[in-house]
Amino acid sequence: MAKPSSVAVAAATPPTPATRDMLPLLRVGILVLIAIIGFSSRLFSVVRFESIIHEFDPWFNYRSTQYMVKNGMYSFWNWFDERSWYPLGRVVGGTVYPGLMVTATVIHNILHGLNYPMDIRNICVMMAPLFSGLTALATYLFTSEVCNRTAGLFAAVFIAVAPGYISRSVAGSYDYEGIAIFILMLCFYLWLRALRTGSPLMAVFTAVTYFYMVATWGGYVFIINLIPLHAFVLILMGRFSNRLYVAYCTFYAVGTMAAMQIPFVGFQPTSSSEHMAALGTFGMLQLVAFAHFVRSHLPNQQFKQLLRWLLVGGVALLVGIFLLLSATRFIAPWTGRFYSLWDTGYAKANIPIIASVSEHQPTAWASLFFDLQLLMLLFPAGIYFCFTKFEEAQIFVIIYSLFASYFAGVMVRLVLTLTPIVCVAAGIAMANLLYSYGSPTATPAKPRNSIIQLAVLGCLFISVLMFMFHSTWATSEAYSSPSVVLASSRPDGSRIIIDDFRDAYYWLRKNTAPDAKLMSWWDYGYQLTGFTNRTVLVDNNTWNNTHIATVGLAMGSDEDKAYEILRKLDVDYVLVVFGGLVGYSGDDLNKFLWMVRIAAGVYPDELNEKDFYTAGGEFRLDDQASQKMKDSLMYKLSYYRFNEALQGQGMDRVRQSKAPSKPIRLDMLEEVMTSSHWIVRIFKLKEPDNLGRNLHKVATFNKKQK
Amino acid sequence: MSKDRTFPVMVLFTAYGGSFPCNPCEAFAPEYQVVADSWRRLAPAAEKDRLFFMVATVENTRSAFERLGVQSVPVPYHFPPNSGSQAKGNANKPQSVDLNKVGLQAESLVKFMNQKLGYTFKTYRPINWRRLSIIGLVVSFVITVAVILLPRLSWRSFSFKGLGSSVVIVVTLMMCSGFMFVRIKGIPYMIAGRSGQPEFIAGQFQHQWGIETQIVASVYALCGACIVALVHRIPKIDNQIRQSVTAVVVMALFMAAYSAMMAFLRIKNPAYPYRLLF
Repeated sequence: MAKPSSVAVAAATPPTPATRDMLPLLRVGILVLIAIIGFSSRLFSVVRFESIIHEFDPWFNYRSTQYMVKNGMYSFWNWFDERSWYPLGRVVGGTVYPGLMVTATVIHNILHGLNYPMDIRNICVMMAPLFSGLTALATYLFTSEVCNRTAGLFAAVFIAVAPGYISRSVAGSYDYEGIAIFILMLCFYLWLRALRTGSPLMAVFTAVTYFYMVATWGGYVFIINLIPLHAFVLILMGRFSNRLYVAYCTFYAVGTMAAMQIPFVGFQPTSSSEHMAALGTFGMLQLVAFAHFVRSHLPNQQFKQLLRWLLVGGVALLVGIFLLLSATRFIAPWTGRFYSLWDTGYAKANIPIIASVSEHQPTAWASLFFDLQLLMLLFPAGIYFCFTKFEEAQIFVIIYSLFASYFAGVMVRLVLTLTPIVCVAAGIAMANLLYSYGSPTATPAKPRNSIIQLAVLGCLFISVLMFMFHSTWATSEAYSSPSVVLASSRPDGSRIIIDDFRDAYYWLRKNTAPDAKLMSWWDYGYQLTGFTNRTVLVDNNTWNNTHIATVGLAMGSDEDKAYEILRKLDVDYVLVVFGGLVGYSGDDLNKFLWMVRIAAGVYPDELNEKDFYTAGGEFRLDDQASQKMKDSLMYKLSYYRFNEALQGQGMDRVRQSKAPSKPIRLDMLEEVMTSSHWIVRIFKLKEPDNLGRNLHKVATFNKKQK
Repeated sequence: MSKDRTFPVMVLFTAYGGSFPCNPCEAFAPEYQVVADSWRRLAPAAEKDRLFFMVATVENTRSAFERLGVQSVPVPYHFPPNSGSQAKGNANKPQSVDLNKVGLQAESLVKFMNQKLGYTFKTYRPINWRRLSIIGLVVSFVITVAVILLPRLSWRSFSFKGLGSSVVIVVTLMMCSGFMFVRIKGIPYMIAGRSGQPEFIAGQFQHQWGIETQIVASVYALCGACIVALVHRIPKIDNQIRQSVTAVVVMALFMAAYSAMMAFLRIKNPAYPYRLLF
């Protein structure tokens, strides 16, 4: 690979022929080692627990991959999933990014073609670590393109262990992000290369990688805005070139056509506002190219006059068209998540379902520092060094850093897109330090005192070592929990595994009718369908806010009202998650206010958040809780028999409050299963009475009989 | 609050100064003025003289507080008329607004009155002439400077890189130090801790004060400056002793900053096991 754009490192120390021959081999060796580190540091969860799919969304991806392996691609496109969103169902083929599932299926088929029968579950579990190794490679290529290979190696090792990326790519976290970051870096590398060489072939490769990204992750919008922005800034700075024209136009034309082949994306690239910047830049490039062409044929004075009028007319025309189309709602669909990025108050005020998700919260500095640590300290220097060089590739890094850091500040989950560029910038800073202090011979650009050199290098070594320790610790402590299986420690330090979720799911699988309908809050929807193969009302797809609000309404209403709703929705079982006994803080009562808020957004007459607070405006769950709270189905199901089981000493260890002392009476549902640590509680809806009596009366009657 | 009142009354229960220090009360007082003023100016002519705005403070009307069971201030109460043609019998219970929920602005109270109480008027905010004139002065100053300076500066002499790099780095560091967190959540700059001492670093991992953004961003910037100095400046120093001393000092500064960041993290998460210098 030719290296025109780099800090002049190669010229500094002319290597002897022998070392020069060794260098490529060394580099490959280092890269292989980096890939191995990246892979193996993500295996904590597999070693500690087992080879299991993690969390929530991965369970849907896993389930649809199973479907694809079993039934093939064609029927996957037409898959109507009747197991979720009962009674609506979900058209999966048209509402999913299939790239991840296709990748897993392809790997599965290749392995089976080679007579190596690996289970699809293990492929899915190992997918993210595998692609992390590839991400390190792509980051190496990208950074080599921006700075030099030394920086590339540093960036590669940083991205291999950076907790900000590991958080989304440990073994078992079978999610879009796991492979999307690899595609992102590869796409940007190819773009820079296409731009440097002006090669249409490279631009087509960029477009194909972009297509892979569109097929994989909704975050493709980041690419289709960043590359046009780069092109736009280059034009503004007077750096228009034929290379830029060829690279961008090829990329845009091929990439957009390809993107529209994904059913979920469809015609959005021509209509939605997220893609308009790309289209505008495409048009602007044509105008600029035309202007350059005219300039070469006209005298200077005339050209200037022509340019002025054309510019004014052109801009006015474009703005007019844009306003017209927006006003006629032709290009209106500004999606809520997009709004919440720019107008930070929007989500909070208008879309509780977005605001309720913790990964859509803004980022405090501590979690960013926890995710990037030393890299954060090297980041500003890296940006500065990009400014000292300031060519096309460096400008790209600068723009990327600026925007990614804004998005990372607004939404926790977008720290993920910031991480690669921080690794790149940190790699550039390290390479520059190494260049100044690392070589044995003194030159005018280097300090002469070798002790000082050693001291500086020693400090850097300690820092990087510290970063490695930190990353491994963070991975092991914070990011390797499957969240399906919980781990806790006894007072003496030994570990206990809390496997309540799987116990309960297995119970459901074995003890309920195959067509039973389960109701739970939407967080557990994907897991429920994945584990139990039963029908659920709502799941993590959250495509229908009204349906979710109905579930929230049932949870927040009193028993009679809830029973009515549940009967209408044909529900057989209700599942609640209660952490009060073992102190599991992610339980349903802690999410309860969000349920009420979401329900109140759709049914403002039925529920009011205020009623669930005490008169003093407190959120309490003990005996002083508000009447509405005590009556609500969620409260009753959570605390049912809790105090009695603990001989009246019940203590809610999540809320740190006393359990309600009065026995809770439940007439219309019956408890059928409570897991050993009480985390999952399952209740069955009673059938309406044969004699047409009210179920309250039936319960009273039965009690008297005894 | 007599028994036969034929007109509705708006009462703000609040506390000023004295034995009950209450910052939101002070903040809401002028906003309440704005609401009353808006009513006077923009209410329908027929109703204008029928609604009255009153203020009740803890010091003066303790009995009213006790009778209504007011737990927190400031809280506006609306009393419908209890006699005459407008009275609605049983439905004339006083209604209150939870300002903590809707916000301490005049607009939110007006919105509440329009939606829940059936009034129709808009918020009227008098033009803030002082602020406007200051903005006008600043803008005209900037324009003048630009008009005088710009023709003398050509694009070539203009240090785009210097300005651009500082702007980009400052913005980036602010974003990475929780600036948006503080802005979106409306977090205070800093608060007094348990013993009355100011608390600079919040003791929770998922939380921070406004001042932390500045501290952390400065530490990041310091680290950046150290590295740039190590790479660009120090190798150019001629005197070998001075060069060595500067290099050691700058490197030590970097390590100290790194250690400080880890120490901050330990404040937020006491279980964090690593430390460097301190």
